[in-house]
Amino acid sequence: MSSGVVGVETGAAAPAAPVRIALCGNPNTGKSTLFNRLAGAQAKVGNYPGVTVDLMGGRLVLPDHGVAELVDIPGSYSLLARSAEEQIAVDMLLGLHGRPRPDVVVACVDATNLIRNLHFVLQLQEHSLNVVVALTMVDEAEGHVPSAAELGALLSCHVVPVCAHRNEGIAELHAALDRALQAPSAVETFRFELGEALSRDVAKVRAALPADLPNTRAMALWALMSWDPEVPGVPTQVRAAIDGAEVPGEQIDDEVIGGRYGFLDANVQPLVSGSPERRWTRRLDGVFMHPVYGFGVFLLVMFVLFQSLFAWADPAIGWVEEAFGWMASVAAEHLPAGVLGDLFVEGIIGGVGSVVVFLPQILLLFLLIGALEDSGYMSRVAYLMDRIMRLLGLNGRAFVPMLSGFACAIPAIMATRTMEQRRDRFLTMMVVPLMTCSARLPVYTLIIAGLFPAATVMGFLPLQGLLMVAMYVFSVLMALGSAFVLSKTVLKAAPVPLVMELPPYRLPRPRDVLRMMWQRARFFLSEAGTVILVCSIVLWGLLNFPRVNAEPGLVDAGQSQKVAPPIAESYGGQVGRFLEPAIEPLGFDWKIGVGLFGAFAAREVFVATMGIVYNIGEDVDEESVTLRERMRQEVRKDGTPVYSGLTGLSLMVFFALACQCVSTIAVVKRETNSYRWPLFLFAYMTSLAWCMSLVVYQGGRMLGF
Amino acid sequence: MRPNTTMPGPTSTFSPNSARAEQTEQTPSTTLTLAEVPRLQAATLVRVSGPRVFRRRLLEMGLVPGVDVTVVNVAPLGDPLELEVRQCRLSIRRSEAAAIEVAMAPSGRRQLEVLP
Repeated sequence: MSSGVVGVETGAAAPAAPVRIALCGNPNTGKSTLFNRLAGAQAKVGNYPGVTVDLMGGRLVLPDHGVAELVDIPGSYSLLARSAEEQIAVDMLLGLHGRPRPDVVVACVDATNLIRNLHFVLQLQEHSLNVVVALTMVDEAEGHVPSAAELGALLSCHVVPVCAHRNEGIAELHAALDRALQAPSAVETFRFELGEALSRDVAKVRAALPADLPNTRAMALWALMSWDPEVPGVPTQVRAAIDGAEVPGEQIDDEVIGGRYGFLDANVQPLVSGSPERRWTRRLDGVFMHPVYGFGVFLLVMFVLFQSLFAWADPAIGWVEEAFGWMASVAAEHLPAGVLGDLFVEGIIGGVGSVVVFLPQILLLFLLIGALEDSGYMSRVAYLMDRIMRLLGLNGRAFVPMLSGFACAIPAIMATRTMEQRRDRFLTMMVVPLMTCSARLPVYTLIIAGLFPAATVMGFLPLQGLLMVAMYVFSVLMALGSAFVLSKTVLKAAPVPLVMELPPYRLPRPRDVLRMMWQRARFFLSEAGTVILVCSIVLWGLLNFPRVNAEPGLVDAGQSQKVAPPIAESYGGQVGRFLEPAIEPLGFDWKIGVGLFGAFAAREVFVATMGIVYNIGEDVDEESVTLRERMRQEVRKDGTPVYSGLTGLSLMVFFALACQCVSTIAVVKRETNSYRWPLFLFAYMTSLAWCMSLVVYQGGRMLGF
Repeated sequence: MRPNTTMPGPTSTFSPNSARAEQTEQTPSTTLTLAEVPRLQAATLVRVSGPRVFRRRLLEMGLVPGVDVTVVNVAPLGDPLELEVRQCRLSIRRSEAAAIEVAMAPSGRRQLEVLP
């Protein structure tokens, strides 16, 4: 895959290969607002194979050069990658690994944070990239803006002040891009001098550079500094040359990075009259970062986030379910009975419904996350929560995904994208499905209401309510415990420094937030949704095949109709029976086994499946008195009731821990881009569930319950 | 030569050899780590130690020797710290701040409006 995900079909329209423009810069510089302005409505998100980095692509029309492809490079501080994800940005800018080199690079430079932003620009220029500087955040600089002409003269490139959301400077930027394309300033520019020893090292590495890399000092220096074996992209022969370097790595860093900053401090500082006061950010931080008020605000914000996922999304979820129920019933009326009709009504409409039903929560969560990110508060959440999350081997950024897990693991797993480090993301994904999601509640309600008396404990505490709270506490403890264990074993890693920018507070721009929300939703539908759909259809097939002859009387005379089997005889039911020896020690019989199998589509399906298993019908819900009665009457071969309180407890523990959710597995598959992680997730959660249920059931029996 | 700690950071010019020379020198007794500096006390960065990934990230974010660093806030649970460097706010863990050597600036406490 060399041409990437963007502009493949736009390229065919232009006579020659279209101009390639890369948009890059530090994080929090207004890059995405500028991208949205430049690319207009035609932006689309792509995904680089092998890693999950969002690459936005679009196109724009330049006055002179016509249609140009625009790629949005993920925000970065440096051209020295620390992970495969960061390497993508480097590849796209430097034209490595078969990616085309951009003809011109627009570097977003935050006018309020010039020096650090220009450090990135200097790196681009060292690699002889044709840079145009877009000076952003000019409206926030409170007048302390350098003159574009002076800065342009210093950097020998075009500098254009822009205010993307007010559409200011965009035409000028277009013109500057045309001029830069006409007369590229693409010469290797070093703004500092290399020491003697380092020059010798650079020459040595340069001699070892393969033919497909540009043979420049900058490339040799880049290879020399990309010492980390985990960073892909440095060929073996170059590695060998690096290993023989004279100057120790730390000194190279000091010399090179310090050299650039030395240049900037000496030359850029005099161009700026001062720095903005950022009165509002200071005032807000005085409250938001306050030891007492800060936590209050934090709890309030998190409550709103949680409440919205839990309660506000609920009506929308209801509408989706009703709409698909209606569609299924209409389709059932008009389609002939039979396998194909059933497949369409139950398999496909039901399957699509099971995908769309996640949309309300995904849209809401990303609306809120987008607003929190863009306002700058998300970094403060990470700051406030870091101390706690670190105890579990995670960092503060994991807090919001974990919290979202209480509503639903699907959006929560998608929310881990805000985390920078791959390892932290994966660890969070592995424990989020343990949180008590809303799909577990109907199961708990059925079991608690059906099997436990409405008694009180210690005279005033309702037993049923206490059990529900206990299940929540249990899930949190298990999730935290698992995070701790996984961070010490499977996902063991050297502690990654958490040097995080706390950007100034800004009003989120609805346009950008909505766009991000829509992109996430679209990604979910097209990527994860298809996997969920296929899984749902397969599950439906397993519970509805092999077909059996309809009972006489149910179909019109003369028709020998094959219909879905009683659930116990379906393939799924056979699996339930087959599993009985494995789940018997947990206190479950094969009928529960069928229910567990059915619950794979979604946990709450357990309730309906049990309704079918007990011949009550599938239209039961967790409030169904008939189903509760029926469960209480169910006996084993020896006459003892199947559902004792202990069985109920064991069953709830199993539901709390088992990875009973095809959609979770599908989303983890998409987000990690591997089969390994979803399989691991399934294996570890299900074995944990089995072990804990065994302990509860057998331990309880030993204690005489 | 060691950077003069009284020299204001942003105007000092950088020579390629100073960083190297500095590492071979003894740590002056007047320096302390950023984890020990009181809140709102102006300090000047002398040197960053620790793993290379960490050092480099700090350098890339502009924490080069000679720059002014101030701890402007401490998170409610005592960790992490909020720094102000080059008019930019950063969050850093206390254990990481312990790897940053600074010298107290003679100018004393920073006049920062932090409370509403």
